[in-house]
Amino acid sequence: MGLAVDGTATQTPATTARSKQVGPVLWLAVVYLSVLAGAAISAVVLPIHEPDATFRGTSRDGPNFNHWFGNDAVGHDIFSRVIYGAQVSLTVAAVGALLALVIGGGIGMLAGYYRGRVDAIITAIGDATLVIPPLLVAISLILFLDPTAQRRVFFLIAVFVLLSIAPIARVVRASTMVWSEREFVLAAKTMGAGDTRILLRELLPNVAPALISYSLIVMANLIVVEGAVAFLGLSVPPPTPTWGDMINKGRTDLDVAPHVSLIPAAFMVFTVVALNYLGDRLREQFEQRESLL
Amino acid sequence: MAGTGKAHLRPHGEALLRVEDLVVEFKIGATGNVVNAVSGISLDVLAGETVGLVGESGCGKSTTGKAIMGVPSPTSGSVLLDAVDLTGLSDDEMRRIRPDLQMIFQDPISSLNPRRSIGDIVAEPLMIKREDQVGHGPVRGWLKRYASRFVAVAETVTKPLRVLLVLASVAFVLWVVSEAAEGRRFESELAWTEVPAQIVGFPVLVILVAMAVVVFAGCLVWLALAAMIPFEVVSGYLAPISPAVGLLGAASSAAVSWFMVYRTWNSLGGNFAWVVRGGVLTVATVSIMWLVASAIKPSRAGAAGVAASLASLAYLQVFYIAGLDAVTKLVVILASAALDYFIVKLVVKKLAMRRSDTQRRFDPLVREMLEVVGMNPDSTVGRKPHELSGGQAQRVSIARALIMNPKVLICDEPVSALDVSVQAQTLNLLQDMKQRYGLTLLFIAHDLAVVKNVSDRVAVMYLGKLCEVGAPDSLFANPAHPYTELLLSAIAHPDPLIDPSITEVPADLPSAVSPPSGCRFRTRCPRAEEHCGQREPQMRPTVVGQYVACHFPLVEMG
Repeated sequence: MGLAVDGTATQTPATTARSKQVGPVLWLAVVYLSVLAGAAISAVVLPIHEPDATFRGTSRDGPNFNHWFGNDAVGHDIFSRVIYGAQVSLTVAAVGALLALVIGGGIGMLAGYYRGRVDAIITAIGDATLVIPPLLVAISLILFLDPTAQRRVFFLIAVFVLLSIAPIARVVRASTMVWSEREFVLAAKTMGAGDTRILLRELLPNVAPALISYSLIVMANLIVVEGAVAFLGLSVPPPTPTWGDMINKGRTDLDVAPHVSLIPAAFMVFTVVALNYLGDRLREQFEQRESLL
Repeated sequence: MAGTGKAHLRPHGEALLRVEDLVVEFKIGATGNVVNAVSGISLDVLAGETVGLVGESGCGKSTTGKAIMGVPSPTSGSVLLDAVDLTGLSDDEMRRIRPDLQMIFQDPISSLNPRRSIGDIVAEPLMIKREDQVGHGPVRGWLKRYASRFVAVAETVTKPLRVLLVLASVAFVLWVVSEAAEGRRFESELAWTEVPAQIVGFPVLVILVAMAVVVFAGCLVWLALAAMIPFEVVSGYLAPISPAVGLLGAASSAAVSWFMVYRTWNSLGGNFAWVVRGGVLTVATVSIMWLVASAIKPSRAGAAGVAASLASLAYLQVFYIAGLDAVTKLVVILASAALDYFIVKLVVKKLAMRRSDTQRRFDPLVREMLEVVGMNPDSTVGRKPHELSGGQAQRVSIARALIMNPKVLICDEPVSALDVSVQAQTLNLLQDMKQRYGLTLLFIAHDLAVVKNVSDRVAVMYLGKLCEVGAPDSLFANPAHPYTELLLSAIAHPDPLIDPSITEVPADLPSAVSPPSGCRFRTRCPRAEEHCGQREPQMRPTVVGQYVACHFPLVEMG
């Protein structure tokens, strides 16, 4: 970007075009995630088979016209179960990431803005939780506390939120620290802006891109963790279908009917890749804009 | 040169800004050491005067400026503005005085928030001041204004009607809650508890109750407002949206809602829980469509208006086909209309409030200010800081500082980061502004030529202390302090015949953590003697009119 002495146009059209460019892969990721989320939300009203219905004589059938993704060993329709399974995976991951975004973002911004002793304590706790492998924590918490099956979803979400707060808070804290140093924060103080106003109006808009993009990546991680927990049979109990449970159930038939495991696995992979890609691109977009300054 | 003493200050009451014994110390981590950034500076500025504060980098001149502003507050000392001591004020009192004291920063780009538009940035001081009057903080201020408007409108409805509306709302809340409870009772028999029940069931109940509460308040507002909102306002919301987007939204919304209704009615036999779920889903769908529509077309208000109307329409359809009795239908119509109103109100207002408020109330002032500093308001208001050059950004900073009509403007190296040609422009602009608004300036800089140009009085600073104070002409012609002489000789002259070797500086600036005893300049001073390390020099007048803190000045003392 060329700086005119005091003229008008300082940004060339090329940089504008580049920063707003949306590639086909990004579109693919967005469309895939929207369709998946849309299908999961409206699963009850979609004209698909019931996920619990067993279809006689269709055990381990491959994909066909009636059952697009085939059937599992019991004769369940895999297409329907993938969509209903997305409900659990996406709900747990999205709600978990969203809550972690709010809590972790808030904690991170406060720590980064006020610093001092509070920051030191928060950072120490955060660093301590970062050392523990999240999957192990999730599994041992679930096994140890053994909540009733009814409340398993809320319990899962709570565990995931706890696990995601520290990494998000860490990223946000670093970003907040950098932005707090900028003179516009000082300028806001000299204009009489209070801390709330500075945090919400001056810092949040600048921290938000990093926060959101990182939360998407956290969400992708949560989907994997949920899958692993479900694989071990610790997620939402049957009959509710989950991707991890479906992969687990199909495990024994991998030689004769690999699609039973591979189709939900593929969906999990696509979802995680799409979320990661989306998060990365968001961050890139953000960094690009920054570099213009 | 460790100028303590106040001999150079004008009598009390004459100065607009009077700083006495200002001390700023910064603790270094847990080491217990302290950076003596500013160690007892006394300074005064008369109304309409420009005082230049010069010194090397790290001498504490910027810190002095910031301490006067109270960011952060000085460790000790007093800052008197119009005889009011700023250091003794509470946060609230300080906030009220802030408009009188404004500041311009060195890095113009960094002092503007990259995510906000120029119009927004320049209006910010006004917004802060206004919110101070309305309430504390943006959220509370908004609530307060909203509540007062709500009350004012509700008051216009006749009393019997108000009572009736309240009763209807209460009835509706009870009805919704009882129906929801009914839905829960069917759990064992009906689809309510099926697979996703444990995920969807509880939130739906929460949404139901929340909706009931919203509707309770919404019925009141909507009915009261429906009679009052002029048609132009409604069409004003809808006008900016492009017909194509509107049509697309309407078509897909209609398709979705038809599908919902069809599924709900056909396969579930009008079970209440499913009807509600359909309604919630429809609202969610339309909200997403609203997001898409507003992303395509920036006229958010129009898009939101259309989407919200469609949402309530679809919502109504669901209920209508569910075959409810007449009274229930009426209540539901009221409720969904209230929901409609609330969606428009909340979404549009929340999103558009800042902008519209700024534009309507402060826009003329913002534009005028931008024009005064030589920017074209039409092309500037909507731009972001990164689209401006350094000089333009500094003009915006000046506009932002001046919009509050301050008494004192502290300029913290305002031209150091600018090109030479732009420096002159900015300095001229500051001079213009000074004359136009009767400003009093404290001009902090390290460029002596700049300071000489703009100042009525110059103060030379070294390592947190003052060395010399005086009128620029006499100070530049007859420097009394060896440090002033050193600074003057260090000015680069564009003349190849001048030997640069004489401008060589003896040593580096000593550490501010453990400054030299006595006169702080003695470690670099060519005239230093033993005496200088033992006693700190005090400010004394010279024969030519300036004040100097030196044991062995270059000019005879008066």
